[in-house]
Amino acid sequence: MSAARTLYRKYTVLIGGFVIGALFLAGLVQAYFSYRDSRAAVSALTQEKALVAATRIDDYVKGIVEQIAWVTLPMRDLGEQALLQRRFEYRNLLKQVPAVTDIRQLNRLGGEELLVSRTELDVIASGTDYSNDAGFVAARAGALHFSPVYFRKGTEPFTRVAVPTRPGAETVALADISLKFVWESVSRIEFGRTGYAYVIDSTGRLIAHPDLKLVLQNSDFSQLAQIRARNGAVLAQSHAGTNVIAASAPMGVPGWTVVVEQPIAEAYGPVYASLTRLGVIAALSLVLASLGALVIARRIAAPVKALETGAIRLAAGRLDYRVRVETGDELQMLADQFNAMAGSLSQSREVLEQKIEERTRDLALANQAKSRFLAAASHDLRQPMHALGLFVAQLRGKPLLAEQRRLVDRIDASVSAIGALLDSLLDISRLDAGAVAPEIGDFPVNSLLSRMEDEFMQAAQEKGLRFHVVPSRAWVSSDPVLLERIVTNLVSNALRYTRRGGVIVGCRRHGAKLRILVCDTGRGIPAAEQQRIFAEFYQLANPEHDRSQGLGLGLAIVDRLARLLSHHVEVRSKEGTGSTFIVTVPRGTSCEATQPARAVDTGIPRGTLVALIDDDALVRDGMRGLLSDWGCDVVAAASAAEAVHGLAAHNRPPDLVVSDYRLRDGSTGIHAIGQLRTTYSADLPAFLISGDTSGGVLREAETEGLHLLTKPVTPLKLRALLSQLLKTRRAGTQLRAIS
Amino acid sequence: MIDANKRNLILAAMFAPAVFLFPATLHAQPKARVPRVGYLTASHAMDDDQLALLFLRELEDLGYVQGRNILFEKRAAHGRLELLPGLAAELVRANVDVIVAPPLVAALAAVKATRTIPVVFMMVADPVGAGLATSLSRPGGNATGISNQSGDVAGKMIELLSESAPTARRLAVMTRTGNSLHDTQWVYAVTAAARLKLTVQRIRVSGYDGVDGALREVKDLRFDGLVLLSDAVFISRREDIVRAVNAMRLPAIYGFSEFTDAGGLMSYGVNLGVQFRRAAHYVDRILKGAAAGDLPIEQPSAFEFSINAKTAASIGLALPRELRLRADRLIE
Repeated sequence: MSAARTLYRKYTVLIGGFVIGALFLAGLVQAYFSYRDSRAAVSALTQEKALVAATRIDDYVKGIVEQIAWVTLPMRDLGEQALLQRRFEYRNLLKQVPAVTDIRQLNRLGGEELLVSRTELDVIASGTDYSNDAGFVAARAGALHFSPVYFRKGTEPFTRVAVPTRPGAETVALADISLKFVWESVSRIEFGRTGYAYVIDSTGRLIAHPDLKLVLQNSDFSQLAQIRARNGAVLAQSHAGTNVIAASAPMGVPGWTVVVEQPIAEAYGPVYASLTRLGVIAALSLVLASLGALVIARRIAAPVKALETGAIRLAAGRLDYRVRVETGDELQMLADQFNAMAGSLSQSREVLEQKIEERTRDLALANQAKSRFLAAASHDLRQPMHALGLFVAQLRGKPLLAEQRRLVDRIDASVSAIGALLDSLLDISRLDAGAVAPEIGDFPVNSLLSRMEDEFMQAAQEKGLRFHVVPSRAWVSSDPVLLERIVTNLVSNALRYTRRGGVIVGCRRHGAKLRILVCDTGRGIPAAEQQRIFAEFYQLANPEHDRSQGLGLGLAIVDRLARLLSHHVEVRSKEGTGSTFIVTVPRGTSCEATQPARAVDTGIPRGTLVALIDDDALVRDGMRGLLSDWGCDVVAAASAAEAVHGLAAHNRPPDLVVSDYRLRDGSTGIHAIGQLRTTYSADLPAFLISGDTSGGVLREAETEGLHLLTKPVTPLKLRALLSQLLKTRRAGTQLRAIS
Repeated sequence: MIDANKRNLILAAMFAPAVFLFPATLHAQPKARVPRVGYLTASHAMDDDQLALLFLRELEDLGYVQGRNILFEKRAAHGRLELLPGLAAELVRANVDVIVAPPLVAALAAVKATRTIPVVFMMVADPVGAGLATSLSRPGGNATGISNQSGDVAGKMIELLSESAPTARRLAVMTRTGNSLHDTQWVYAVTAAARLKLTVQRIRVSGYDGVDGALREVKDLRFDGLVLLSDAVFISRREDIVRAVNAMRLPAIYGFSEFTDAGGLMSYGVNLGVQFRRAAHYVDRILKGAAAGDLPIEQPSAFEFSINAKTAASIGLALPRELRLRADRLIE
């Protein structure tokens, strides 16, 4: 999974990187050249604009000068009449050229012959001396002369131009020109949206600017970089601090310079716009390239991913899974081969499974045979054992001689031993047959422990061993019967294999679990054998198979029960010092209050009428004797019909029915009980006895809600069940009576 | 699965350009407040004034359309100069953005009423002397505008009147008491008259209602010509003045071409139209955030000589050809 992701990422980065890198490089190169070319174009344009502006303003000034020159034609005579004529011409000039405010005519010596003004009275032949005026001197030498710009009342820029008259004449015209008219000309020069032109004189003083305010404030621009730079366009700062591209051009008027400025923001606007466009295209390409890389990488990685998924499925055992790759290339071939491999794997597994199935069938058959044999054997063995037990019990109830009693005791012991062996065998068989269903519940572990003490204290003492059970207040969650069986087996085992010292049983809390420990001081179990002890019929140090020491089924049952209950059983042992068996059980929740006291009332009321149905006369007699001994009135019969017949004599319904499961003519105890219940009462207490230990009978009994005692039935078990059923019935009757 | 991916890809490709286009549509234009201009004039109402119309036309050229993106509060004293302080106060209360005050008297009233609202003046001969500004290049206060040099042209007016009526020897110069500029102009007039070998006599007008008495005085003293210096009160009463002067068949020269428009014989002075057009530029710059105190006061150099030929004919005055040629405007 992660491998495919890495592949996907790797290809995405690789393809995306290449494409984006190429695009980026191309964009950069293009942007660089576009920027360079555009800058050059802007510079050239600015320079051009400066020249145009200079020419235009020159033309304007030249126009004024030409008009002055025009009215400064040589005069034919020097009399007053000529001066009046000249005055007329000058007045006309003032009318036509608003820029001129005053005009004087000087004679060849610099004396004022005529003054025509807009504000003052016109003066003729005042003779005011202008011979030292720089303009006059220059004009006398034949040159046009502009005085330095001067400001009237400090704000209005003026220049005084000295115009020589045409050759032959010796007069000079001296005119004051308001340069605010140059401003109008400058203002009309448009350069882009925000570009502008202005004029400065040789000292850097501003003569004309679209912002008249600057001119009127006598701004000094001599410090600006663009004023000093005369070649080409430069990047500079305007008087206001704006970054501008500027170019200057000298004018025809000596010392005057036209400067053209355009804020960088506008001048390079197209450059920036073009760069922005490039950026947008680059970003778009980037997005497309990224998407493309993702798609291509996915197309490469997806088949690999599919193959990987296939391999994972295959590993998980899904041999029918097939990889679908239809790329039509090597990857598809790989997938096809993969599928072929999965196919042959699948085939060989099928063969294998068939073989396993066959073996399993064989094994199952063998197992069934064993189970049948065991069931049959136990049934056949149980019948006489059952009867034997009953007879012994009966015998015990009679007055006997000491010798007879000893014999009865020996017989009883033998019967018990055989019964125990049979029980163990049957337990194993039942556990293997899966006929045991644990009933998990919470109960105090001490009840179990105290029973251990009751059960084994005497045996231990007889064997000269110390036996100690440490009480515990812990509760466990388990099946009380099955857990008791486990512990019982462990304790009896411990006692059996311990010759000196003793056995101690105790509990230890271990988190949410409780460990029940059974420790002995026996000879211990070698490490190599610690697992094998849980196998059937394994006995340590009993090579001669002395069966008085048991069959070696105890731990096998422990093992099976522990597995059934999901309890963990382990052994810790050291050869020569002893063994400790540990059963780990989940801890239960204490419910002391609701736990009823375990007071066992084993008493059976005298005169209890019991109907006993068994087709085996021997068993019937044994049972009848036992029940009679307990004070019961017994009606023994071979069938249900016979029982009804016998019960008729008692004039009352039976208190309890006991029936063998297997009856004559294929009838069963379930049928017989059914018949009696139909006859007397549906809740008539009843239970079954059977030597058949197959799960089938047990399940059938459970379905009917009947208790089942398996043969051989010990008198203790019989009496316990009888008393329990009768007690339940009494309680039920009382309940009904109350309601 | 693959189809879904393809669809996503196509969608992504379709919407990617939208990311670049979107920001352009997100900018909204904030609604600008419409600026309001107070127009305070000492003489007649703004709507009847040809010069005010020039001012409005220039504003329109600058992109201001009355009623749409510029509003006017108009106040006119109609020559009753004592009303000006009240009218100026009204404009201040109306909280206009700028006050345009054409003659000196109106400008002074405006500046007296507020030191914060910018004031643009016209027809002011000496703003520094009148206390409207500390200097021409940097006025410093809240008033700026256009200064005229009419004070310098009294001599020129006498010269022109003399040329129109070469036989005239005794001239009346009508001034208004309270117009300090008239004192300076009177000096120019006396100097010029001396050089032209003429006699001049000063006729003082006390105010709006004093005009009639002054005209009667001119008539009684039988002058050969009349020089009427420029003044707001005179402009307000130009119809009465021109009618009375023409009735006397008296050659006269006035300070503004409005008098020739009203039937006066001649006028010489600053081209007021230029001043009013320039005033629009001042308003523009102030509305765009410039401080009045930073805007230099301009001195227009454009003069206008205007002749009403009809009047000349009606009073039986034959104007020299040369004079007629010199006129910038000839009303026939």
